This record gives sequence, structure tokens and C-alpha cells, in this order.
Amino acid sequence: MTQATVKIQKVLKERSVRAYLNRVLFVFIIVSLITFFVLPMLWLFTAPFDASPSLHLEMPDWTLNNFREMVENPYALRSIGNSFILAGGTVLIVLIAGAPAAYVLSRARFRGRDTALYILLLFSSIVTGSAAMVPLFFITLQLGLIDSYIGTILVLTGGLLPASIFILKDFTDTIPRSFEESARVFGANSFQMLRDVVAPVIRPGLAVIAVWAFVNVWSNFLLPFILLRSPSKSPAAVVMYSFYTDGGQAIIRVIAAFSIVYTIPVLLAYLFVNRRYGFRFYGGIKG
Amino acid sequence: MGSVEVTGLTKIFPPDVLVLDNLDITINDGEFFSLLGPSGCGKTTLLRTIAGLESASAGQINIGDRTVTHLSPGKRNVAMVFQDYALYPHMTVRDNIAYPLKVQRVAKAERFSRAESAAESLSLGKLLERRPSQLSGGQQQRAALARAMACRPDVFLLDEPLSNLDARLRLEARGFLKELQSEIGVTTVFVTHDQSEALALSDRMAVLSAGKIMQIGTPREFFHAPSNVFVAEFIGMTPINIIPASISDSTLHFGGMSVQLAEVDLNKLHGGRELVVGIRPEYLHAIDPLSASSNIEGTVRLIENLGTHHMVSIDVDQKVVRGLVPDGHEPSLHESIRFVPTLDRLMIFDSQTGEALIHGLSGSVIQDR
Repeated sequence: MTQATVKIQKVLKERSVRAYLNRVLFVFIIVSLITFFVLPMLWLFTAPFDASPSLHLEMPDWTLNNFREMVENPYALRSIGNSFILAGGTVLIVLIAGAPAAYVLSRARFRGRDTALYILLLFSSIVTGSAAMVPLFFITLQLGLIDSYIGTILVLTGGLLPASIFILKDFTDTIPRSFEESARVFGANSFQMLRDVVAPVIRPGLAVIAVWAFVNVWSNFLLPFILLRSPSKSPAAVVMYSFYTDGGQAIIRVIAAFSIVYTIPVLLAYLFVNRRYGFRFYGGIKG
Repeated sequence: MGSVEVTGLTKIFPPDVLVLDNLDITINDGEFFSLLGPSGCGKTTLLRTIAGLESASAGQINIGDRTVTHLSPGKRNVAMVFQDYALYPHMTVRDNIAYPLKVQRVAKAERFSRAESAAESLSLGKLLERRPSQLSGGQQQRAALARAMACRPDVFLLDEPLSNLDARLRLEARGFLKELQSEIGVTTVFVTHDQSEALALSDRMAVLSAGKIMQIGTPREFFHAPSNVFVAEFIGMTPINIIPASISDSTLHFGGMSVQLAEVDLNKLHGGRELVVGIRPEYLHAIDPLSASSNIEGTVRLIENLGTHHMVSIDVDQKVVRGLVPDGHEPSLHESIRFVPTLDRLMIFDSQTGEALIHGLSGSVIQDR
């Protein structure tokens, strides 16, 4: 071996060592980031089954007693039902009101349409924000809708509807008008056209909006906390806040068990939509 | 009975954009009729107005012996194939083809058997269970045609159905479309911006410009007897040469050459108007440099290979004149070359109005050397 080749080999070796170290550092950073985000998740899945859970992550002392204690709590399961009423009701109204509105905004041309859309989007971020909380409370009170599901559902819908319309309108824009026009030439009336052509094509968009609205309501604490006065009507997000002893001590056993029950519907909703629609969209077909 | 008769049709898009200006067109039963024109000329609007997707601002549309001007699209018994085919992505090919029949409340069994026979005749038989997104462009186009066929309409309305296909496939689809139409004999209105498609397919055609009809006629008439300079320039594979011309005594001068005019032609050119000569490159031939014939002479600035011929562009008085030279006889660049036109293919236009005065001269080229 000549001196030159030895030198080259040495350089190559140094280079590969450096690349190796870089790789190690990279993996180390990724792993620590993942750990940081995974730890709370781990707690969520271990603490409910631990006989004496704390806020630390530890090997659980396996038991299902926490769940029994949670079920025995008069408000816990009932609040999950309440959450379903609020989320389901809101999703229903958002879809029933939002889809036709989005369709018209997408298809009809009229003066001031863009301004209307802009105002819509602007208001969606204000209406349910904390700034509007006091007026919202007073309006609901004056209308006699305080402490009622329907009042709360309407306020929640008001907050989600503008953004839903905006998103659905964008989605409808991607569907070629020729779909509807061809249906009309074939003799379909407006109802047939909407049912056979438009609805199936925008269904994935509706599913996305449904899940998004559902999750939004499910996790909303402030609005139901203010608008629903009686504990028996409170949804899960609010009830979770009430798991305290008389002495003001958090009952971690119940909170932990309740957390996992609270999480499951949202996970299922995502899985269902992902399975059914895969979040893939039908657009127009290009040749 | 599928004739289409359009009388005095006017379409104004609000507030005041005149898209169709008092059009009269009669399309005979069983005819393949093309609407040709540059983009924005109103050809698609005309088709959509016949379909009923746009309402007429004035005028009347008859299909067969029915007046359909104010009928909804579904009641006109027409079928339309859209540029993007408008196949419904959530339905299989079978359901797509059967959809119009479903709307017309045809019984399920008959609906599917008609859909299947339409698909079979367009060789889509094996693709019935597929979704439109699983079809190639050509197959999508045929599925859209099958859907239109299955409704057995009085009139086919085709809105640039070939423009989404790539060049090779387009030629195939074009031949296929022509065969299909002559087989089933349905009146067809075909919108295109491609003059070669219109020439190849049409029984008769119309050229539109800015909402007005420039000319209606057979492809042959369009090629050999365009009614004005606009049509002459729009039609043809190669750009027509438009050369300023003048008359002294009974001789026509253009591009450096002279033609002795016959009495009949002279009579048509009376009044001392300003003239231009139109001559297609196909009818401009290179001649022997030693020939005594007067000619159009210039230096070669560009040679384009068209396969069997080369299109040679020469400079004549700072203007470009193009002629076709057979493969193997093409000159070299910057060389001088002489062209002589086929006189009975020469056209003369009024340079002010663009209107055609003569199609085909009956004079003789002056021998001046």
C-alpha cells in the first residue's frame, strides 16, 4: 500500500465516523422529542388501571376499581351522554345549515359574495371567543335558553358554522359545475341532482366537517360551563373539573379513569371517518 | 327527428356583454355540424344555449318540430358530452351510463341492458365495474359518449370532447367519433377551436367570431372559398399568405409578379378598391430559376419540415411568404427562391372589409423575361 492510499483511507474513515456521530445525535434528539410528547399519553393509558395513581408515571398496580368508582359517581357517565347530546346536536345543525349555505356560496354569483365570506370568517373567530362571552350569556339569558341543551347547541353552532361554511365552500368549489349541468341535461330535477350527484361527491367534505365540529364541541369547556347551570346537564369536559373531595383534593383515580373514557369517542370518530373516507377527496377527473 | 333550427338567437351576459349576436343556423337531421372559432367567440355559449344551460336573450330554438327555447334542459331530449366528460366519480361506469335512464324512470333491467349494449358498442364491456378514475383518458371519453348514446337523444351536443386527449389519441378518437356518428346517424353539434378537427369531421360547419357567424358551409367550401380574410386565416393547416395587390389596366400585381386577368374576373373587381391576394402555401410552388414566368422571389429565412413537404418562408418586400416544397427539393437557407401560385386556387379579398371577391382566378401568369 502506498502512502497516498493510506491517507485516503484515513480521510474516508474519519468522514464515516463523523457521519455516524451525526446520525446518533439525530436519533437521540428525535427520541427525546417523542418521549416528551408520549409521556402524557402513557400516563393516560396506565394511571386509570393503577390502584393508587399519582401525577407521576409509574408501573401500575393493576386494578379496575377506579372505573367502578367513576361509574358510581352520579355525574360521570351521565356527562358523557350530555356531551353526545351537545356534540351530536351541534354537528347536525352545522351540517344541515352549512352544506346548503356552502353550496349556494360556491355556485351562485351575487354582489358582495366575497365580502360576505370574509365577514363570515372574521366573525367565526370572535363569536365564541372569550370577548363575546358576556353578551352571549345575556342573550341566552334573555331568550330563556340558559341552562338548556338547545341554547348551548345554538351558541356552539354559531361558533362553528362560519368556518364550516367556509371550508365546505372551498371544497364545493373543486367540484366541476359540469357534474350538475350534465345531470340537468339528462333531465334530473334539482332534488335529484343534489341527491345523486352533489351530495355523494361532497360527502367526504361533510365527514371532515362533522368530525371537526364533534371534536370541537366535545373538548369545549368554557361555553357549556357558563351556559349550563345544573350539574346534571354538564358535559364531560365540565364534569371532569368537578372531581374533587370536599376538602378540595383532586380525586386522581376518578380523573384518570374518566380521562380515558372521555378520549375514546373522539378516537373512534377519527378512526371511523378515516376508514370510511380515508380523508381522500373526489375531485374532477382530468384526462 | 333531430334537426336544429336557430333563428335570431341573441345572448347577452349581464350587464351588457353581447355573446351571441342575432344568429341564424339550420342544422339538418343526421348531420355532423361543427361550431368553430377562436376562444371567446361564443361557440360554447351557443351550444349551451341549445342545451338549455343558458337562456336565450332573444330568438328561437327549434329541435325537430318542437320549439324548445324556453324548455328546461331535461325536456329537450338532447345529450351533452362535456369537455371534462363530467363522469360521476362515485359511480361505476355502468351506473354512470345508466344514470340518465334512471332519471327518466326506465325500469332497472332495461336500464342496465341498454347501458351494457352502449358500453359494448364502444368497447367498454370489460370496464363496467370500474370507477371513472380507473379509466384512461380515451376510455373516459368513450364512457361519456356511451352515456350520451344510451339516452337515445334527438341531438348530440359535444363540447370539445377531444381536447383533453393527447395528440396521438385525439386522431384515433376523431376517426372513431366520425364512424360512430355516421353509424347511429344522430344529429351532432360539435364545438371545437381546432380547425383541422372541424374540417375532418364535419358535414357542414360554421365559423364564429365575436358572437357573429362568419360563414356556414361544407369543409371544402371553407378551405377553397372562405368568405373573408378572417375565415381564410383561421382555416388550414398552414397559415395562408395575404399579399397586398393592385390592378393596372387588366393586370393584377402582387408580391412582384403579374397576372393577366380575364374579363369575368375584372368585372368582379370594378370600382378601384384596395385589394389583397390570399394564397395557401399548398398552392404556391417553386419554379425553375431559368423560367420566363413572372414570380414571387425572395430569400429563404426559414425551412420547416412537415414530413412529405417542407414549408419554406421567404422574405418579399419585408413580408413573409410561405410556400410548400416537396421533400428532397427544399432549398438551403438564405438562398433565393421563386414561387408561382396555382391561379385557380388564388383568392382576392377587399383589403378594407376583408370580404372575399374572387375564389380562383381564370387569368394567366405574364411571361416577362
